[in-house]
Amino acid sequence: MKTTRLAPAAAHALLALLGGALVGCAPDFDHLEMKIDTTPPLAVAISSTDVALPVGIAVGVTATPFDTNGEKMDTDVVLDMTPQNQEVIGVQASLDDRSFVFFGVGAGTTSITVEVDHLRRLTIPVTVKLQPAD
Amino acid sequence: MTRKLLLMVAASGLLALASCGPFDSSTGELNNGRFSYLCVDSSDSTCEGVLGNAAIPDRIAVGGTFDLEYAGDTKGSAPVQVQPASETMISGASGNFKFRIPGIGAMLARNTSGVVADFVHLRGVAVDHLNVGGPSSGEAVSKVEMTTEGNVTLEVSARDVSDAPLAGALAYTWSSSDEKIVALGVQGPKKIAVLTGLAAGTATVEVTLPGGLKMAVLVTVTQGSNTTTSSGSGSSGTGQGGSGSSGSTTGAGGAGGGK
Repeated sequence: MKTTRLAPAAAHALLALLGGALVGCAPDFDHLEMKIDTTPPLAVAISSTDVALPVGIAVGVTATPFDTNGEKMDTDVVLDMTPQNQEVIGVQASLDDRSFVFFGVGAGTTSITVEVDHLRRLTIPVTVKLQPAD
Repeated sequence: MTRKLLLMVAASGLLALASCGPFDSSTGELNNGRFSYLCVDSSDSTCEGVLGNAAIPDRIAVGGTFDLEYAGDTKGSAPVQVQPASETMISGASGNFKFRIPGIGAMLARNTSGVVADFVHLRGVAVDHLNVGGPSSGEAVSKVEMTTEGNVTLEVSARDVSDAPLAGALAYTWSSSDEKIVALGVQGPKKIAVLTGLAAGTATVEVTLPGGLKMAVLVTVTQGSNTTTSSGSGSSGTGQGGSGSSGSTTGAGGAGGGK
């Protein structure tokens, strides 16, 4: 009787293990690296922990998500970056994979929400300042 | 030694790259296409005689109107709209862009889904003063001597603090203090004024920007057949003969030169 009672439980456990193993095939998101691709005419700071740029300045950026194994995530992994206040900063996709354009719209502070495969992963604080007078 | 040499070569290469600056004439900064500058009317000194595409000027007058076009290469050839990155810096839509304040403003070429195909930065500079000169010489004049038998053509341009010409169409207004002595024929979008001497005497011809910035030229009309102009304060000096219009002669220097 005990054996017949344990069999379904063991089968469930086995299934759970198999399922977990399958899910575990794709390592999870670990961190985001951002590289500036253009030469902005005024100083900017762009990283996964901080974004600061002057009003009116645009910067081309390549954003690369890395998994927990330290590998670049596949390009079919969807990476979205959304500014919380588009009157402070604009973030738009560009033509190349993982390429974005950040541009200062108006002075203020806000944040950029980063989603990897539609899961919120990061919130990057943003500061946009008026340009220094000549 | 070899490593040192390589390091020096790499450092000099970096320096050379840094000195290139961000203001390439028209290639987009993402290298996906090219931007070109369009004058909205002939008051913009960037487009001499032709309103078509020009290389992007180094400096655009704050308040000056201009247009920008984008042509993508194969990758960036989808239909795009050119828009300012920030309305704080540059206002308006296509055909009517205008720097609102001095500084640097990016212009974005975006396709219909909002993707930025490319962008370029422009520099807006405050107009410091106006330069009035003859179209041929372009030298600044503050005095003109002319006769009742000739015409003098003057051309105004907006300048920055270092006297560099600024791009952008500006709404100039010309006036004569005494139209019985000097009549003004203002051509097209008011960059050029043709002065006609009607009677002997003196009059002041002024060109003004909407913000109130102005430049005055003292015009002395005499009976005769020659014309001279002078630059600077015009208090003294010797002029050099230059080119003129309708048989007149213009020159840079003091009053009375070039006769």
